[in-house]
Amino acid sequence: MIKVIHYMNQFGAGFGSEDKADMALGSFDGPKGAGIAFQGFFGDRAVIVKTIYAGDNYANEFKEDFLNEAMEIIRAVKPDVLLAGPAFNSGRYGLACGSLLKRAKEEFGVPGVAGFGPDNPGIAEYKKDCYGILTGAAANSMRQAIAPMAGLALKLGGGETPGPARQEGYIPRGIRLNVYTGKSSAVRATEMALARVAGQKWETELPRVVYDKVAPPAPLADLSKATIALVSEGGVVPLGNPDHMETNNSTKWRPYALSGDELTPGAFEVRHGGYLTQDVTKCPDRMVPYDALRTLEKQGIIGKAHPEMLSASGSMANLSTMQRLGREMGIYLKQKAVDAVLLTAT
Amino acid sequence: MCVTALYNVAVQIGTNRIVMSGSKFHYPMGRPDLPPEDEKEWRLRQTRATLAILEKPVEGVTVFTQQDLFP
Repeated sequence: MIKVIHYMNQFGAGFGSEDKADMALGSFDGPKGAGIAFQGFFGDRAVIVKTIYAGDNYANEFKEDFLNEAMEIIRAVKPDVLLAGPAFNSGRYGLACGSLLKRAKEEFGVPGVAGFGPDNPGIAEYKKDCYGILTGAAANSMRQAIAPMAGLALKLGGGETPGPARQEGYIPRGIRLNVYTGKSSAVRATEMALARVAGQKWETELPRVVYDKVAPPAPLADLSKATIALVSEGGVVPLGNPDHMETNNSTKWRPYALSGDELTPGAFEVRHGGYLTQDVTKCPDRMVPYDALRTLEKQGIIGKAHPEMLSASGSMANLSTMQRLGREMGIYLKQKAVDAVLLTAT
Repeated sequence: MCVTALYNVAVQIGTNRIVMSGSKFHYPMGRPDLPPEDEKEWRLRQTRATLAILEKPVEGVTVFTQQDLFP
């Protein structure tokens, strides 16, 4: 019998709404809430042995405690598969589901299925780390979420590897799998081209990445009153690279304090795998023009030069990771009351 | 807003205010070919003209060339 653990937030587990969002992690034996519907689908093919729950604030603000406590339970129960949510469009809930499934996969190799609404930030953050089923926006679409989530969980729990997203119905994870077809790429491409010309159905093997459309922010009302921050993907970091910033495939960014009237040559180095860095190493202002920004501050052209640069390497960057870095930087700069950013890129 | 020599990449990902670097990929805000004082002056003019773009409204992805910066 396939053993399942199901995760829900305070609302899903029946404790209450926002007023209970701080509640710590706990668990029940057996299914609860949506879990009862999952169990109904499973029949005697699988059993939900435990239901883990936590408040959405707890799961996000005390993420490490939340994850460690959840892993304790998973370690003891040894489930074959995890179910989380469905979180619908609830952002914190979706992030909690994704983070839990990611950690369980990393620590125990236990696969998991989560339910996300179309606007849940959990999709962008964790679609690679779990199998996401697209649900409706709100809990009134619960019924439609049960069968696809439970069906995929049965497959995973039984040790099967699901096929591609478009066949199995989960949210594409951005992972390309190699498949033997018996035909060379030239033959396949020609067949696609012929089908297209003939107006027949054809399917690309390499879907194009779809980029977000972001509405342009309103212009600054008055540059001379604005605080401007410098952000760069050029990989300029303090000498010695104290944070071990990556040269390629960055997974992190750091704010670095700036003082004086320029980026002192010799105090910085460049960690970036995508360009000849010697000229920026000699004079880091060539990438991060702090000297100019300071002068403009003194001249009253801008209000203030924010005394930090936000740094990362954009070399061989992974789009979803860069979206996360961008989100994190945006939140950080808003907290610092920065009005606008000059982002310099290679 | 983004300053870059690879402005087509910035266009592709949907950056709204893009300034084409007046220099090169390896140093978008530098001119190592100039004497240090002239380079500093060049960077100041570039930065000032670039920041002025922040006061201009845009409807969507917009590329500003060096000619737009210095008409």
